Formats: sequence, structure tokens, C-alpha cells
Amino acid sequence: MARILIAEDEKQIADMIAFKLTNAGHQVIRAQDGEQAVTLATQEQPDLILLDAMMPGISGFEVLRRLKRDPALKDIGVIMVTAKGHERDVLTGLSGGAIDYVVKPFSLKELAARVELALRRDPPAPPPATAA
Amino acid sequence: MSLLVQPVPPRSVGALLAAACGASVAVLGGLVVAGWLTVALALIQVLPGFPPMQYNTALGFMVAGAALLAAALDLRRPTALLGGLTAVIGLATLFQYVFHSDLGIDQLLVETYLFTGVPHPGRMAPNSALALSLVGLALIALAWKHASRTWYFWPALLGSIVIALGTAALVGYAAEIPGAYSWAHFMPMSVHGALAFPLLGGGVVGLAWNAAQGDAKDPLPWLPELATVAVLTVTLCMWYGVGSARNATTPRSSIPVPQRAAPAETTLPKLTLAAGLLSALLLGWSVRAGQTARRHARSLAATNEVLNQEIEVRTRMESAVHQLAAIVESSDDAILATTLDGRIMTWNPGAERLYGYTRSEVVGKHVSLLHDRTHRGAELFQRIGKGGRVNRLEVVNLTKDGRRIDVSLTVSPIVDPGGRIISASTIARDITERKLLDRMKDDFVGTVSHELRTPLTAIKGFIELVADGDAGPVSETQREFLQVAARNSDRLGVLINDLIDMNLIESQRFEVRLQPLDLRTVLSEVAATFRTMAQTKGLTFREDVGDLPMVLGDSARLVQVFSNLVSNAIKYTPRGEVGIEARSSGSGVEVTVHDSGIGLSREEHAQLFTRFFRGRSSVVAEAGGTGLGLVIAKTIVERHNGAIDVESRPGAGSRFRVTIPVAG
Repeated sequence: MARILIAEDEKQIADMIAFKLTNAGHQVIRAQDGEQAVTLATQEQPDLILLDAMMPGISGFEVLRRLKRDPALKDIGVIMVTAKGHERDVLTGLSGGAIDYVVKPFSLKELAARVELALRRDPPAPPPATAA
Repeated sequence: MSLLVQPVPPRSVGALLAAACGASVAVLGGLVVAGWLTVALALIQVLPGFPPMQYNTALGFMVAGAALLAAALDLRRPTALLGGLTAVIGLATLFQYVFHSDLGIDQLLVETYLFTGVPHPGRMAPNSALALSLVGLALIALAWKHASRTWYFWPALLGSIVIALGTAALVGYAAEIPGAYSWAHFMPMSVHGALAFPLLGGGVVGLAWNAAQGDAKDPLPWLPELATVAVLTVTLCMWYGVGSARNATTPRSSIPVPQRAAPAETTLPKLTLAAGLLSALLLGWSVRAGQTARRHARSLAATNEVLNQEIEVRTRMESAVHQLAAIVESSDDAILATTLDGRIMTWNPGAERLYGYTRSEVVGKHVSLLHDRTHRGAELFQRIGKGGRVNRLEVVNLTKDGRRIDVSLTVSPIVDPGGRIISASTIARDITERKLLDRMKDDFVGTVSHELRTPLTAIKGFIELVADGDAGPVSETQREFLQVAARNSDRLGVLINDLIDMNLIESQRFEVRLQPLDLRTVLSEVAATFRTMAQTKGLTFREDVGDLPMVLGDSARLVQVFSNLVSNAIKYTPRGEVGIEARSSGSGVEVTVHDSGIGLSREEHAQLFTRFFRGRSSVVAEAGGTGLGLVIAKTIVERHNGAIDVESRPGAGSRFRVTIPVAG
């Protein structure tokens, strides 16, 4: 069992992911915008964060930047889950330190599989962008 | 040896005529020689009682004719030899006359049997001997290879005297003036001899003109001089002839030359002489004047022609300038000319409308007053100065009232006739509206695609949750129906992706990232995805991918290409097989996707890679698809510097071949 933060402004999508992950035996925390995502991540110290890119207020990419800047949070794995499927968006996400990038519309099974993979992952690799 | 020289064909009509003259004179000589040998008097005398042509004379004609022929054929050595022999025959006879001697040549070859009461039986007539000598000398002069044009005046002069001697004798025969063809009491020139000399002389003059290379301006050089000399010679002969007829003291021959009553007037010879001299001078002068006039007329005509052409060119240029000016004036685009450092020289009404400045406000000013700060004007003019061009460069310009407008610039060098770049022409087209539309469309597509994706994600996800039993048990029928719904939401997803890609392609923002790549990973991913789909449909799925060299490619984009091809193959194949093969081919890797499906008709083949093309409607209805897949696939392959093509026949399946260049 892991604690997973879902940052997603679309309630139904968040519900759907939460349902699947809860069924898979995980505990889910939900944030509805970027600010809340950062706050909850700091408070709850989740094992994994699913982060939408386009949210009201600060964007998912900005949230990612803040998480990676914070020494207490930078080791939490982040999977970007977004409708922005452009290559440059994917690259922004990955170089910003996300460990995976899932483009909407996605298969829930696939997302769940990627979540398991991310949770099994050994000590987090240093994000390439900060290394560079 | 010289006879072995292959004759060169005569170079001109003149040479051809000279050859004909030479040949006919040689034949004439030959006939008379034959006459002497066979005692055929008609050949020797022409008419009974006429002076005979002597054997030596006939021989001389043979040799001289042959020499002329050789000269006409440009055979220099034979010409010189035969001409020399001619001259020797004539000069030897003259020598005998002048020095009252007998060299024993008169009857050397044939003992004469035709005595005419003249002294020296068998001896050639003195005028014939003179003419023959002159012909011989003229031919030697012709054979003498000479660079100078004036050299050929001498053979021409001799030739004209020979013509005159023959002509005088002919006139003598015609006008019954014996003195014109017989000198003193010696042997007269025969009538056929009188005919032959003008031919020889004419031939020589013609060849001399040829050799002097008379040009278009002066095709017959020295004509006045030659005519004057010829008329003078004829005059002298006639004067002598008329005078001697009146005196008629010496019995010249026993031949009954038709006697004519001697003119009573003693002034006739003098008159003849005076008239002849006068006419010779007049002739010379008038021919010269005529030639000069013709030359002047010709040069005048040439000058006229040049002037007319210049006027025509100028008129045409002026009308072209007017036309161009009208085009520039009426153009909707701004058209301006600037110096190479960017100072405005011309400004059309289109430019006034676009930028708001009048002509007088900007001419002389620097074109940078139109530029916003991002415009790299100096760099642009440098490029033009080096002969480069700028095609449809999209920049932001400033109008007089400070508005920013999007314009497309085409700038090209203006080159003077010497090839120097002297200024630059700029055509600026207002594209503000188009830019606005482009931006709106991009925004719209971006928004729409995002807005479509989010609900689609929810639909897809919840269907999946239910179908997978996450929300409680489902019956087999329910699962089946949910799978239909899931497949259709997948199709919607593909459609949205295709639309987004297409929008990127059209706005030229479509990018691929080329990295060294093993195509096997791409192809096995595609095969894994579609094998089940093919087998579910009852098709055989073949995969034949061996070791491949690394290519430069964008893995995700290539997955997209081959997924599109394989899913099409499955879609359009009701039974049989689909397959994917890859092999190394030259400097690339060739991937083939084939099927045993319905194939493509010729028309379908032609528009296969165009937007929104889809196969036959009946099949498509069940197969689905956006009609954009192949356009996108083609764009992706081309961005890889690769190629895609297809072989197909209706009912015989299709074979798509993609070639991607190897890395390095």
C-alpha cells in the first residue's frame, strides 16, 4: 500500500483514477489545483504524485519545479498525467524531473501499471535538468 | 607527281566558270591539232578562205587551257608548269618576229601544208603569240602563292588585255576590218583563236578576283582599271585595223578577205582612236563612280538599318517600362526600391496604403523607419548586396500611425546591364489578417483538442473500470458492449491526435527528433500491438525482421507510421495475411508492410497521400479512420529524409515500402 497524491482539477478524472488506485489497495489524497498540490505534498509526504499539467492557478510544470526545488520533496516520484501530448511538453516534464509521462486519453490499466512500476523503483534518480 | 595530287573541287562559281573555259579552250586546241594531223581543213580554218589556226597555236591553246583548268582546281604546280610552257611557246614566237630570226619552231612538229602567202609559213600569228604569252605569264602569276591581295592585280590586268586582243579580232571579223585581226603582213589570228582568247582571259581574270578574295563590299576588285585597259587595247587594235584597211598597201594574204570600200575620210582612224580613248576613260570613270555609289548606298542602308533597330528597341523598351510602371502603380502590394544601404528611392501607391506614408514623406529616408526593433534590416541588405534574395520573409513592420502589421517581404537585387548590383527591390505584402486567422485557428485547435481529450479520458476510463469489473461483476454481454464503446473511444482518441498532428504540419510546427535508433524495437512494438488484432480477425500475421543497421529516427513518430500502415493493412484485408518485413538496403533500411487485401484502384493510388482520402466507402464504413493517417505518415517519413511508396492492384493486396536512411 502506498500513499498517492492526485493533483487534477477535473473531478471525474480524479474520481476515476482514485477509484482504480483505491481498488488496487492504495491510499489516495486529492488536490484540485497547483497551490493545493504543493501544500498537500508538503503536509502528507506521499509516496507518489500524479500531476496534471493544466490546472487553474499555477501549472503542473510549475508545481513540478517547486517540488524538485524543495529538498524535503524532491525525492517524491512524479508522473505527469496530461492532455498536453506535444513532444516538447513531454520533454519539459521529463527534464523537469518527472519519472513518467502519461498522455490523456490513457488506459487506466496502463496508468495503474505505471504507478506500480514507479512505486517499485529504487532510490529516485537525480532529475536530469538539475544535474545539467 | 603533282598530277597525283587530288584536285580540290572549285571553291566558287568563278572558279567553276574558269574551269569550264580552260577545258573548252583545251578541247578546241586539241581539235585543231587533230585537224592538222588528219588534214581536216574545217577544223583548221572553220570556213574556206579564213586564216588557219597554226599548229603551234593549237598546241598553245591545249596547254593554256589545261593550265587554266589546273589553276581553277587550285593545282599550283601543274598551273605553273603548263602556264610556263604556254608562255614559252608565245614568247619564242614573239622573239622570232621581233628579232627577225628563226628558231626552227614554226614547223617543228608538223610540216605545214596550208600556205597562205604570208612570210614564215607555219608561224603563229603575232597577236596570238602576244596573247598566248600574256596568258602564260598570267597563269604563272596566279600559281605563285601570294599573300598580298594586290599581287593578283597583275594576272587580272594581263587577262583583260588578252580578252581585249581576242575581242578586237572578233570585232574585226564581224565588221570586216582585217587590220583588227591581222597585224602588218603577218599571219592573221584565226577566228576560233579570236573566240578562245576571251575565254582564256576571262578565266584568268575570274581566278584573279577569286584569289584576291573579293568581299561583299568589293566583289570585283580593280574593275574600273581592268575595263579601261581592255577598252584601250580594243581601241588601239581597232585604230590600227581601220588605219591599215584604208592604206591597204601591203598584200597581207592571198586569202580573199572580204574587201570593203575603204572609208574616204582620212579622219576615221583618228576619230576611232579618240572615241575609243574617251570611252575607255569614261567607262573606267563611270564604273568607278558606280562602285563607289553602290558602296555608299550599302553603307548608308546599313547605317539606316542600325538606326531603325535602335529606334525599335527603344520604342519597345519604353512601352515595356510603361507597362511595368503601370503594374507597379496598380499593385495591391507595397513595392519599393532602396539603395543598398536601405535608403528609399521609389514608393508605390500600394506602399502608401500599407504604411500610411506618402511618397514625398519617405523618399530619401531610411527604410528602417518601417522596422520594429526585432527586424534585422542591415543583415538583410548585406545579403542582397552579395546577390542573395529574400523570399517571403515574415516580419513585423510599423505604419506611420504606429500600428504593428505583419508583412511578408520578398527582397531581390536590382542589377545594372553590367551585372553590378545597384539597388534592392522590396515587395511587401500585408499578411496581418492571415496571421490573425492562423493564430485563431491554432488556438482553437489547441483548445478543442484539450477540451476533447479530457472528457474522452473520463469516458474511456470509466468504461474500462466497469468492463474490468472494478465496479462490480459484469455479464459477458455487458463486457462485450463495453468493449465496443471502448474501441470507439479509442478511435476518437486517434482522430484527435491526427487533427493535432495535421494542424502542426500545416502551421509548419511539426517536428521530429532524430536519434540513432534500432528499428527492430519500433517494429516489435508495432507487431506486439497488432498481432492480436490481426489474429482476432482471422488473418495470418507475418513478421520478418532481421539484424538492421542503426537509423536516425524518432522512435514515437516511427511507431505512429508503422502502426498506421499495419492497422490499415488489417482494416482493408478481409482474409489472408498481413505482414511486416525489414531489411538493409543500400544506405537505408527498407520496411515493407504488405497485405492480401482489397488493394487500390488507380485513382485511389493517385490520391492516397492527400488529405482526407479514404478507401471505398463500403469498406471504410466498417473500417473507420480519419483519412489523415497516411498524410501524417508521409510527412514523418519525409522529415526522416526517407521515402514512402506503394504498389497495389485492386483485389491483389497492397505493399507499402518505407525507407529510412541509416545513421552516420
